[in-house]
Amino acid sequence: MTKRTQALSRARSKLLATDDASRCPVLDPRTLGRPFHQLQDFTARLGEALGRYFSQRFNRRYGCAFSVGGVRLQLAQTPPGMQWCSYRTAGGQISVALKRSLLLTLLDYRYGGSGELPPGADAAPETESELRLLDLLGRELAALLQQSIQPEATAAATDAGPLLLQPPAAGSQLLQITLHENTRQLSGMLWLALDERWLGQLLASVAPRQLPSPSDEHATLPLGRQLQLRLHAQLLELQLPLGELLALRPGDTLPVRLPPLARVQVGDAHLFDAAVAEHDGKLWLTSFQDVE
Amino acid sequence: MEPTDAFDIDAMLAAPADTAPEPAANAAPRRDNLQMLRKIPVTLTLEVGSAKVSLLELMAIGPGSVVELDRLAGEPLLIKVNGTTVGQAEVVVAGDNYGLKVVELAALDLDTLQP
Repeated sequence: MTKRTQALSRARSKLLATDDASRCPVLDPRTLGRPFHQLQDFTARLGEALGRYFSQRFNRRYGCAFSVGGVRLQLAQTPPGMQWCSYRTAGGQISVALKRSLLLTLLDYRYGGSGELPPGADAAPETESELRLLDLLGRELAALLQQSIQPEATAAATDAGPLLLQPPAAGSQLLQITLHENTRQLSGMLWLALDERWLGQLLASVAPRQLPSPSDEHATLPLGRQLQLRLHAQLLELQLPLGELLALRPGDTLPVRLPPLARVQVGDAHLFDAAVAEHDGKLWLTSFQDVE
Repeated sequence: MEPTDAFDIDAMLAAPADTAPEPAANAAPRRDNLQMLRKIPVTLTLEVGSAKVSLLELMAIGPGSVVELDRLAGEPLLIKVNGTTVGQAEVVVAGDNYGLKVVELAALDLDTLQP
């Protein structure tokens, strides 16, 4: 255990006033123990990178007007009815999905159109062209996401690999990106799903774990000597309501039955029974008996 | 026309309005925190003393071991409630039975806890 962890574990708990409770947002229990709260910088950087990508890759070339509204990590089920493109990259699996109306609008722009879709285009059967565009988009976005997590990665290392038409791996977390096409006044979601491995790399990149250095003298002490425990010798244990306890006054006598040996506990664990002895004015425990 | 007793505006203004709110009667009953606190079960222990040992020393404890406690012989025993020391006591003999005589107890008045 590091000095910092020891200090934290010994720190006395605080009770905040009710008015201050609003300063403590409720956390999803699945995010505890990992630095999810430090992802705002990453999502902001990713939003900017996605905005540049759509601007340079599509807006300038095809005259469309895609922009990114916001990025947030969502711990939720994958949305139903979406066509996902998944890629097994070197660091884990990344999956990409885009609201179909946005994808079809982008496809129309690429074919020289104005991005206007005929009524019911969303409900028409999926075409090969549409899937090819989604795969192209998926590969490029997967590479962009990898570079955002690992800026030092080479282009070869961010290769998305073969296309897998399957939903995100179990346990994946979704980056939910709000995408707008301003000419056609369209808005929708783009989802990037990170599997557990990629999520671990992302969280490690925002807050690297501080492992104790080998030179830390406390860390090199054997645990058996370092770990200190307190033995408590008790003669009696009673359960009673707080009201009865508060009614007691100095001079009152409670009838009790005393055991011949004291209970020796470490925390709540009853480890031994032992006799209490006196020597040189001090109290001692002796004649230890193991408790089964 | 003679005024009638059926419409006496002075009497109506003097009388308390029937529709006036009565905060005490209409408000939700206040939770009796003190009564709730008094029912909470607590664990009272009588402690002879304690000793700090390392894990290695604990593992070596056997029937012949002798471990020094942090209390002097003759000192009152510690009354602890849920692990917190709240007072001191001594063991007394009452006929064939033992008794725990409270020597000192931390004063705690629940009424002072009311917000």
